[in-house]
Formats: sequence, structure tokens, C-alpha cells
Amino acid sequence: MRGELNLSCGKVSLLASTSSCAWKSAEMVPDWFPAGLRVLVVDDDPTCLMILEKMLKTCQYEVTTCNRAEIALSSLRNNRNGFDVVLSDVHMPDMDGFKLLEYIGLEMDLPVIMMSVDDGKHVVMKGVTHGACDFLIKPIRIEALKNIWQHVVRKRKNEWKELEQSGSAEDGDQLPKHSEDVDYSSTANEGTWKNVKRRKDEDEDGEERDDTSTLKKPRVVWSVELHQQFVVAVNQLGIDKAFPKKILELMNVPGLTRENVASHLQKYRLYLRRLSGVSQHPAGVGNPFLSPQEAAFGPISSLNGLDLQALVASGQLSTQSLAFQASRFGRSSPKSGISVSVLDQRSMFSFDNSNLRFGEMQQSQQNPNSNKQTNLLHGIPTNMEPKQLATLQQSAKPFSSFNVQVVVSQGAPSNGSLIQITQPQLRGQKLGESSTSHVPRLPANVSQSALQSQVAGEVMLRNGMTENGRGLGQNHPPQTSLAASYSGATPWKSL
Amino acid sequence: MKPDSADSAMEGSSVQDRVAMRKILLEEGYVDIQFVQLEQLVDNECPDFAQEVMVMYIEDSAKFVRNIERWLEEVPVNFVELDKALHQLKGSSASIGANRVRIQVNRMRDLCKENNAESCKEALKDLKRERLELKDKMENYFQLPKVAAPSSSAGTQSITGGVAP
Repeated sequence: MRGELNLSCGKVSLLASTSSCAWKSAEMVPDWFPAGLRVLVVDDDPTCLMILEKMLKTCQYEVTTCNRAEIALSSLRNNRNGFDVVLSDVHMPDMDGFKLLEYIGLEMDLPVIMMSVDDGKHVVMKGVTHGACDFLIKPIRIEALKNIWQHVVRKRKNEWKELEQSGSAEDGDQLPKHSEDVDYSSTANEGTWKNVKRRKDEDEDGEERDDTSTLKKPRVVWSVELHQQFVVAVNQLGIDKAFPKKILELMNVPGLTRENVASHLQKYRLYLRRLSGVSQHPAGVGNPFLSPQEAAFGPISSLNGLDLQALVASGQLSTQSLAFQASRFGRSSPKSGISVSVLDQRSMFSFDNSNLRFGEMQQSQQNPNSNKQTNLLHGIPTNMEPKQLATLQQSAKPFSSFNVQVVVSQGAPSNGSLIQITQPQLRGQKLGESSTSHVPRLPANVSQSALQSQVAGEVMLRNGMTENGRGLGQNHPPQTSLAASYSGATPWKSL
Repeated sequence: MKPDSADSAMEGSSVQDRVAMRKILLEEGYVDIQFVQLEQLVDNECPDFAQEVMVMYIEDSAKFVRNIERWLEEVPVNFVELDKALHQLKGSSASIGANRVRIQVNRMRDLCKENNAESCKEALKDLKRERLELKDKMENYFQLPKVAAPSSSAGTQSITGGVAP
């Protein structure tokens, strides 16, 4: 049954890819969707992993568990179309969850949802800036998991729209509002998303024109590092004095042109304006992209307390997180020149976070003069630190045959924060240890990746333990405890 | 310390099933709503998922606690690693709904942030105690039937508290 589902889901995507009509309507998934959604869960904690697996299965998703990021990555690489969405913990011993997030964004462009027991603004912000399409705070309720399929649909939809638009002659075509808002839980969010989308439409068209006029322009992908350098340069100069030529000089990235920087700067400015509240920057400040709705920045005030409770209470994810992923900008379009990663930052999103302190949020929002308004619930990332980043705009198609790695992430400034395409280094490293554990917990129909994660799991446990330096001792004998608990004998003795 | 009403209830034998005990456990904060949610994840394959995963948690948490302890034994204390170790325990405790344990972990993390080794050591004692108490409660809890058998009348006080499943 599951195999069938898998195939059908795959078929649907294929169908969708050939028929643009399917994507105009909201129905672009099979009837049984979201059942059968293929989820990859990555968490080093066995208890959490077990719970998540159970919950996801209860949602009728097809679950693959993984307790090592490396294994997850290689599973994804080996089976690019094998998963619809990834859930990953932030703190893992072998690889930082954010790193994994970056890789996935670069290479597979799957929606990734981060998880953590930490609800600190800093870590959630990191999720935002690294391109997570959502951030769940542990303990994760099943209600939150029931909604994750939205991210998948939205992403595909955006990719298709983009391909459609870049391929078709209809420039100013505004897709109907309904298809955007179908997943939204709050009307206030809709307004914002619409604005973001509208601007993106305009921007997209502008970009396309640039592209077609100078086809020989090298494609620039604004990676994390590149954007960081950019921001550093801008901050050094001061936003008011940051001219593309000077920025370019400061950045010192060979191959980058003044035009690239100018374009990026434009978007960055828009982003900053959004953050600081448009009250400071009236609509007509010479920026053609700033629409009146933007200027009013209505959504902020209209969101005051209004739907927050609804959002949180219902455990629903805010849809705006997806504006973030609104990857119309170059995420999957082979044509777009400069990846408008900065635009991702403009989107607002909130998290399924019942621990958020509303009062705090509201207060900081009231201060119109502060550039650092924090309103996580509205999801506008505000801290303009160099670390802020732009999600990598990775076109799925041209790169599908490569395993792109952010080789330059080690911070070598001059050789380019421009993405280099290299052969994967991590792939195929099998951890050839014998495995005994976790068999019952993995879904039966996942053979290879399951095996890998089992194997890795075993190894991870050992490695993880010794990394702590404290030797958590032996791997816990899961079979024993399970068997014991099943048989009704006291499973507690061995503890 | 609060009187242990769950135990005295057990002894007094008015707790005949998990329903009753759960109420007490929730009231006393041993577990929270997350645990209750886990209990609802049952199916034919896995009739007592909550027990399964609780067993795993109790076992794993022992290791995490040992880990925490070892970091505290270092001289000087490595607070960065200690915090990581605490974070691990916090994650699983939150996920299983081990409320009191999680609260203790948070307490320790705060002390850890203050680099207060002595207070951390004291807090560790509390943490260990909470964990053991939870283990105890859970042992009792999972031996109770999910719902009291219809034949036993609700109000009677029978001598045997925990009826075997």
C-alpha cells in the first residue's frame, strides 16, 4: 500500500510538472494526501525519535527515522526524490542541524522543519535565516505535525508558478488570492503574504528582463557567506552610504559585478525597510517596489494579539513561514540571474511555539524607532547581523545531477563565496558496523536508508557518547526493554 | 515537600486504574499533557506505546544524568559541556512529558549559565531524586489497568491497590 502511495505521489509530481493547469488550482496532490507524505526525521535522541515516528505515523505519513545527520544527508543524496519533507533537530552531535539545513537547501531543496527544545529567540532566528520553513519547539504536539504537509504543497506550488512564469508570456499575471491563502489560518497573514507575493511578482519580472537582455551575465547565487560579506560591507559603509561600487570593493569577491551587488542591495534595502516598519520610510521613497500596502505595514498592527492565540492554540503553523520559502525567486528557476535570497528574509513567519511570550513581543513592536523590533510571532527577523543569511537559491533542475556542496563555507573570502559545484565528499560513506538496534522502530518498507540509519544509529550512539567524553557506556539494549515491556515482565528491573 | 498523595492513594487503594492515577500525576506535576498525548498514540501493533517509550526514557535518562554528573566532577567544571548534557536531557524529558524532571533540568541550566558549580551540584541531587521518583511512579502506573474493571465498584476501598493488568 505504501509503495503504491509512494509511486503515486511521484507520479503526481511528474504530472504536475508537465501540466501547468494542475497547478493553477489548489488541488495538486492526490486525494489521499497528506497521507503518505514521506517524512525524514533526524534526531539524535532515541526517545524523541521514537515519539516523533509514532506521531508521524499516526498522521499517516510515511516515516524514515535517522539519528545521524550524516546518514540523513546520504540517504537524501541517494534518493533525491524519495522524501517530501525533512524534520531535523537543531542540536546533534555529528552535525549542527543548521548545517544540515543548509546542505539540504542547497542540494535537494526540500522543505526542512527544524525542531528544538530551545525556544530562545536566537536559535529560532537562526532557523529563519538558514532557510527552515518552520521551527517547532519541543515537546512537539501531534497537531503541529498534522500540518507539515502545507510546506510541501506550498513549495511545489511556488516552484511551479515560477517555472510557469518564466516560461510563459504572461508577466503581470497575478494568481488568484485564494490559491495563496488556502492554507492560511489567519486573515491578517493573508494580507501580508499577498504583499510579499506581489512584490515578488514585480521583482521577478524585473529580473527576467535583466536576464534576457544580457544573457551572458554570470549567474550569482547569493550564498550564506556571500551575503554575510555583503552585509559586513554595507554595515561598514553605513546603509546610507553603501553604494554598489564601494560595496563591491570591500567585498573583494572576484567575479562579482557591480550590477550583481546593486541588484542585491536593492532587495536588501527593501528588506530593511520592512523590518524597521514602513513608518520610517514613506512609500514614495523612490523605490518602485514598495507598494502602498507595504507602506502601511498594516499586518503588524492588525496582528496585534489577534490571531496569535488562535495560531498557538490550534497548534497550527503559520502559513507565513512559507512566504519565506516563496521560492519564486530563483529557487527553482533556471533563468533567474541573481538569486533573491534576501527576499526570503522579508517574509514573515511564526512558529508553533506555545512558549512565546506575547507581552514581550507586543512591547518591542510598539517602538517605532527601533530597528530591532522583534516580533517573532509575526516572524520578521530583525537583527541585522552579518550572520544573517540568505537561503541558497538552488535550482533543482540544473543541479540535480550534482551534489553541490558549500565548499566555501570555511570562510575563504576571496575564492568565492560563489557556490562551487564539486563532487560530494560525504556520500557513500557507509558506517560498516554491525547493527542490532532499532529494527522494530523503522518502517518496514524503508530498506536501504533504514539500514543505514540503524547502522549509523549504533555508531552514533557510541560516537556521541564518547564525544561527550563521558562515555555513556553501552548502547542501550532496545530489544530487551521492548521485549520485556511487551511480555509484561517488569521492564524496570534493568534500569 | 508535598505529601505524596499518589503513593498514599495507592496505599489507601482508591487508585484502581491509570485514569485515577494519571489525574494525580498530572496534578502533582510528575507528568504533563505531553505524556497524556503519548498515551493516545496506541494502535494494534503497539498497545502500550507510552510504556515502551517511557521505559526507554528512564533508561536513557540514567545515562544522561551520569553524563551530567561527570561533567560536574571535573575541576574546573566545563560549563559548556555541562549545558550540552543538560540540554540533551531537557529534550527527551520535554518530549516524554516528564515535567518535574524537566523543571529540574531547567533549574540546573540556569545555574550552569551563572557558572555556579556548587549550586549545580546541589541541584543535581534534586534532579536525580526527581528522576527516581518518576521511575517509581511510572512503575506503579503501568502496572495498573488502563481502566478499572467494571466489576469493581468505584467507591469501594479495596486492600490491594495495584491490580495487575
